[in-house]
Amino acid sequence: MNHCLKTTLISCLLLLLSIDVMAQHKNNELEFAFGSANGLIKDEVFSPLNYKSSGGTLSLHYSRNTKRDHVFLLSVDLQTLEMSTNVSDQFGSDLVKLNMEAAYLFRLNSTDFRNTSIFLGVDFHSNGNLITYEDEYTLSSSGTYVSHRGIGLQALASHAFKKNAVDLRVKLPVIGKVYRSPYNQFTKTMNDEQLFAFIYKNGDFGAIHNFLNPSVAASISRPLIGKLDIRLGYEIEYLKSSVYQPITNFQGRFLIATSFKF
Amino acid sequence: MKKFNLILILLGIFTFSIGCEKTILGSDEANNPEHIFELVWTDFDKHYALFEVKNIDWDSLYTVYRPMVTSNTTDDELWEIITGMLQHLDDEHVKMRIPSDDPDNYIEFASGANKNLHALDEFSIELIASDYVEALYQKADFYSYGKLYDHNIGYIHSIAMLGVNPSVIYQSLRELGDVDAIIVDVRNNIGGQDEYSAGFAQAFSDGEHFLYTVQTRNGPNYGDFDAPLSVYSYASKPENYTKPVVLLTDALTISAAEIFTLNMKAFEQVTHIGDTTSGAHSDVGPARFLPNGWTYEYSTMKYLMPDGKSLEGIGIAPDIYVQNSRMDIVNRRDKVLEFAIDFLSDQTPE
Repeated sequence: MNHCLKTTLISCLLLLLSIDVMAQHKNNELEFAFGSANGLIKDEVFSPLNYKSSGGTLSLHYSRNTKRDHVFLLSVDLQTLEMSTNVSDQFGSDLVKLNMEAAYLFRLNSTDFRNTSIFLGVDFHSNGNLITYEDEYTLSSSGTYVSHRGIGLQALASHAFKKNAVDLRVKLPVIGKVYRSPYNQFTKTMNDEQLFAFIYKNGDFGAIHNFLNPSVAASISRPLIGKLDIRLGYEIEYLKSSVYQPITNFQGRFLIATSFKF
Repeated sequence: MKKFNLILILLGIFTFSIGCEKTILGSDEANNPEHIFELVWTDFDKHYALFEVKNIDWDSLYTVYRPMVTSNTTDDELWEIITGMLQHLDDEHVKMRIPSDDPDNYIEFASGANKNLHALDEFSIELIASDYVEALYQKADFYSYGKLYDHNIGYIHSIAMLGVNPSVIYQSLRELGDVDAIIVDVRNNIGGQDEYSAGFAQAFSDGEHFLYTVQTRNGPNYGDFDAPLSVYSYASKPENYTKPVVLLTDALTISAAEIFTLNMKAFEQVTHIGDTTSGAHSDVGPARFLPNGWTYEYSTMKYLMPDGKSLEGIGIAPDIYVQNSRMDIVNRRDKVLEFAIDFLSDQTPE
């Protein structure tokens, strides 16, 4: 069994175990979300052209309220989008966005304000964008990536009504490393076996001045049946990086989520 | 309804913003002949890897070709001007295309390709299948193999260095049985992946040999390259074929097929017969896009031989030069293959 598989299995086991232990507090929430996404993107390593993107998104979130009413969050977001230009329908490309994070948010206001909660905290995240193009006829291809792994700030405001709750969440990666495609997109040391090693050895310092990636999400939720809630939300994400070569991405996504409280 | 206000505000902001593409991404590239020429010339200037090893004065080509483009230049004229400039690179990995869903309307230019097209008429796999080989078995990977008539010699022809697992060649060697020699024919081989080439050649390896170094351009200056990566042939395996081998090449043995040739030439029992290879070693670079719908690509790497020299645009010379003419093939004779058979017959037991 290779190292990667072992790590994955152990991580899953630990996660299941932790969920089981935490379930005794009855203040955990597991949420599955899906939806649609649209946006604009220009990656100057990939192409000098402006592209539009549209596609689908899937997310899995876990959150837990601690005894002190702070919040611990884990989430994985996947977006798969098709990119197009106004120039030619032959330039269709694919964009995959994969974001993972663990966050801990501290409650700022007193628990006496039962209907309104305001949290501020930090996250450790790994956000990645991968763009690929392939012409099946000529086998001509292209591919670029940008990834940020580091620490960010998050703020969450939540207000509960009789049946519904409204959330507003803001995220801002602050400091970390930016991993970007090489100058000519590919080098000989990036063959299949060494790809991930190459990517994570070739990062550069990234902070707000050269990697700006804020996002804002608003959502409304209400009980569905039993321990299930339903949530509707909309998120806007902006990315502008000047590390190595510029990339700009503006993305909006509409989400429908079901959450299970336990 | 108030509860939805936040969502509606965000949705409104996004809907408004998505209409402001120029504000967010900046203006799209202009689609006019002069700007397109500038985009192509500059992109090559910043990314093409072989100006120095090919001794090309890219600036002087600009001074020649740029004045030919005006705002009134038609698409056809622009195509002729740009491909005319790229022709000087004499590099078959430099390509320009007008893509189309209709193959009849798909137009492609490859720099320096014309000089090697004669090799298409100097080789025929159909002739070999019908007149020289008992039965030619086709593999899913792009090669076929069989035994020659009247000789205990195996024949393998590869048309492309592509496939899932190059070690499938070992199975073909077992099926050929105890042949006295093998002819490995990579004439008209269009290339593929270097890693596949090295894996395919491993079946004939007599050990690890230093073959070449490869570097990728990593900056705006012509001399900006990453650290050289030394490439060796794969180690020998006990089941390797160690009897005499002839490798056949021609002017259309290109790219990864030339990497295969470099591997094979390093092995003691291999004799290289045929014509000099194409001389296009670099990996093809990424697809590039233009605002008029054209695409292009270029070489981004330089391969240097152990003596430090590049064979880009030069090719790999055979140990013994033999070339078919078009009329040889028309008259159903493959003189190159026949020479290889005679050469091996002299070396192998009756």
